[in-house]
Amino acid sequence: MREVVNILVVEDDEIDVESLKRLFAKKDIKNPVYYAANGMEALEIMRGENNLAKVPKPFIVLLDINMPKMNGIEMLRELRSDENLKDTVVFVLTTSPRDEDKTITYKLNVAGYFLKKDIKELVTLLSLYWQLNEFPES
Amino acid sequence: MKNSQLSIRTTLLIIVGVLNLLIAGLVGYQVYKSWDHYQQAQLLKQGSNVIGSFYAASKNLSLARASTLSIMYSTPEVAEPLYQDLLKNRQAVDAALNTAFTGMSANNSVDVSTTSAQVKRKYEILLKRRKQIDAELKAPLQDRNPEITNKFYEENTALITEIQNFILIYSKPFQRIDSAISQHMIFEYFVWELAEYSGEEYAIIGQMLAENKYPNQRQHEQLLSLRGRIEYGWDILRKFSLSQELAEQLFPLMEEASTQYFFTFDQVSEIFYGNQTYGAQASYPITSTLWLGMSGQAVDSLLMLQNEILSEVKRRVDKIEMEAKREIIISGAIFLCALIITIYCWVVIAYRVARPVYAMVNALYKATHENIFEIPTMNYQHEEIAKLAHVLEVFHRNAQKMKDSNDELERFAFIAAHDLKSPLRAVDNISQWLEEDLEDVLPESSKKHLDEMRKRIRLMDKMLDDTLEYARVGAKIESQSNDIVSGRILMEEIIALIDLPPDFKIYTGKNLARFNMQKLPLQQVLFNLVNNAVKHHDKAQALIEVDAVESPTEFMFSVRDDGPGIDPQFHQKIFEMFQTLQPREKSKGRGMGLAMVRKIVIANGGTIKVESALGEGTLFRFTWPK
Repeated sequence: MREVVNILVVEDDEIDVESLKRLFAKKDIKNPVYYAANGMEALEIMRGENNLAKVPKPFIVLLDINMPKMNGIEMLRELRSDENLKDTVVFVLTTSPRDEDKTITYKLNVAGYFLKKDIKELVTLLSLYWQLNEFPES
Repeated sequence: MKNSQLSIRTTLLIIVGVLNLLIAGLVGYQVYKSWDHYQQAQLLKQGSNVIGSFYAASKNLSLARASTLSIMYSTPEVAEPLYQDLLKNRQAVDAALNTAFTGMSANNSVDVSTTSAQVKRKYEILLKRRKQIDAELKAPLQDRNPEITNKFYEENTALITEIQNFILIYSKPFQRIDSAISQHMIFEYFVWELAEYSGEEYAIIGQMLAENKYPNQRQHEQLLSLRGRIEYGWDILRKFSLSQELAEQLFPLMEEASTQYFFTFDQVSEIFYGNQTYGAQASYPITSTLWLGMSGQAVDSLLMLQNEILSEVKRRVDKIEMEAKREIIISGAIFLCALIITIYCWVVIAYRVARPVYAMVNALYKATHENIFEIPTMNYQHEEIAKLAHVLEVFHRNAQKMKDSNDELERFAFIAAHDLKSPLRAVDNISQWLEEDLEDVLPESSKKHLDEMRKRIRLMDKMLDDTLEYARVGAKIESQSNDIVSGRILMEEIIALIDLPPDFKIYTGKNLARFNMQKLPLQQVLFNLVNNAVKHHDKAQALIEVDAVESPTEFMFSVRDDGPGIDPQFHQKIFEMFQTLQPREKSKGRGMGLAMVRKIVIANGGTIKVESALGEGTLFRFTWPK
């Protein structure tokens, strides 16, 4: 029996969040989905800080890059330096087609880099991905 | 770079050098000519001195001859004072000849040397004869040998004739130097000749007076011949063409001499030229002493005339010498000035033009290749080139500012295009959700509107993509990989990417196929041009030719099609962003291809042109630096 994979969407744009929600609904994805508006919130959720319920592992992160307070890249760095969280699977979901962003995020070991215009296809892909992918037992 | 710069400097210096050489040559020639004039003036001076001495010698010879003849036939009482005069005359002859011979330069022509040797020889003969005369004078009057007197007369006259001959030969080269001097010398010669004939005449008459005899037949003939020559000589002198000035100056002297001569002559003409018995005893109204005095005066007046001419010649020679000196000074001064100017030019060109220009070129070279502009250090900070350096520094700063602001603009376009996409996507999403959520209640018309809305949204999205790509052309070039491929491969790859209708042909020129070139972003340019030609073609058959020619610095590409052509009034517009010649809905493109092509070509340092008219196909030409 596969563990239930938690999904953490780190995205400041409400429309994009809404868009994801709708797509998840369409694809009949029942996994628990958490939402954070920026990197800081996302880390708090993952670490269970500030009286927030700690999200249990394993989970995968859909990460936007341009966000207020703490952007995606800063959050990734923080994540990779955190002993507990550094194995987190992260997919970048952004509007930025810049090579720099791709290079730097891959260096921070992201599992994939997707542009928001392909969000539909990404959700299709993910719906299969987290059904089929094997995670280590925590 | 360095070599060509050096050659410009060298060329400048060579041009200035050649000009300077020309000037130096001209001025130098002038100096040489002036020097030559001076030398000639010196020669003339020397020559006229020598000639003057010879004339003086012959004048005294003439006087001595007349005195000697009278003395030989006079009693001691009469002879004594005449003898004193004779000695003076002899001394004057010796002194004048001595001066003349020492004054002559060593290198003379053969003619001059031979003639002067003759003069010397005849002078030596005369010297011997003088001694004989002196010995003879000691003897009583009746014992004196008339043969010796005759010999003396002949030898004295021969010496004078030789001197005359010598002067003729010696003065020839001087006459060539100056025409006025030549005239004077000839005139002088005639005067002298006249004086000589008169002298001979007076001498013979003097002898007659001393002897108290009528002339014998030989003497009579001699006198008649001399008369003829003298009258002819006066004729020549009066008709001689002299300069106005000199004629006025000489006229009174000539009158005086002529009056003197004919007055003297009138005293004795009847006696000597009338009917008489040859060699008979005669009784004359004047003594030989008086005659010698009178005739001496007449000869003197002629010689004064001659002296006047001689001094005129001297003045003339002095003037020529002065002029020559002045010429030398002026030419020398000009030569010095030219030399100073030359050196100054060289220094200016080398230190104040060539060196700063060289420094400037190096600075500019550095500015264009390394983007560093340093004002070169120059010694002449206030000169134009130094000012130019400062101006160029401002230019460079402005160019840098421009580049910065261009970079800024590109970043802005990039960020703007990128940031505009988020809300656009949101609108797209929301419209979709509206349609989904309200599917059951939404009328067909509204659904259609929503559909139209999303079409526009997608178009705008594409345009934002184009803007992004356009903005990134400059940045991209620097990061392009530099694969080198042949034109053939380049074109094959392009053709493979294009969806080609069956009767469309793309022809790659032989030159282009052969050339090797950097693949990117050239391929993108050619792709866009070829793709445009295919996309906008209006016929079932098409031929698109792509070719290139090569120059040492660049390729020149041409893309030609036989499509609909482009009206010349749109030739500018087609290169602008988002400009299509068809309404956007009907257009086959978004008006981005040629704008991209132009931007890439220009960013790579090339230029692009279009040649086309409606119905005549289109030819795009662009250059591409190697």
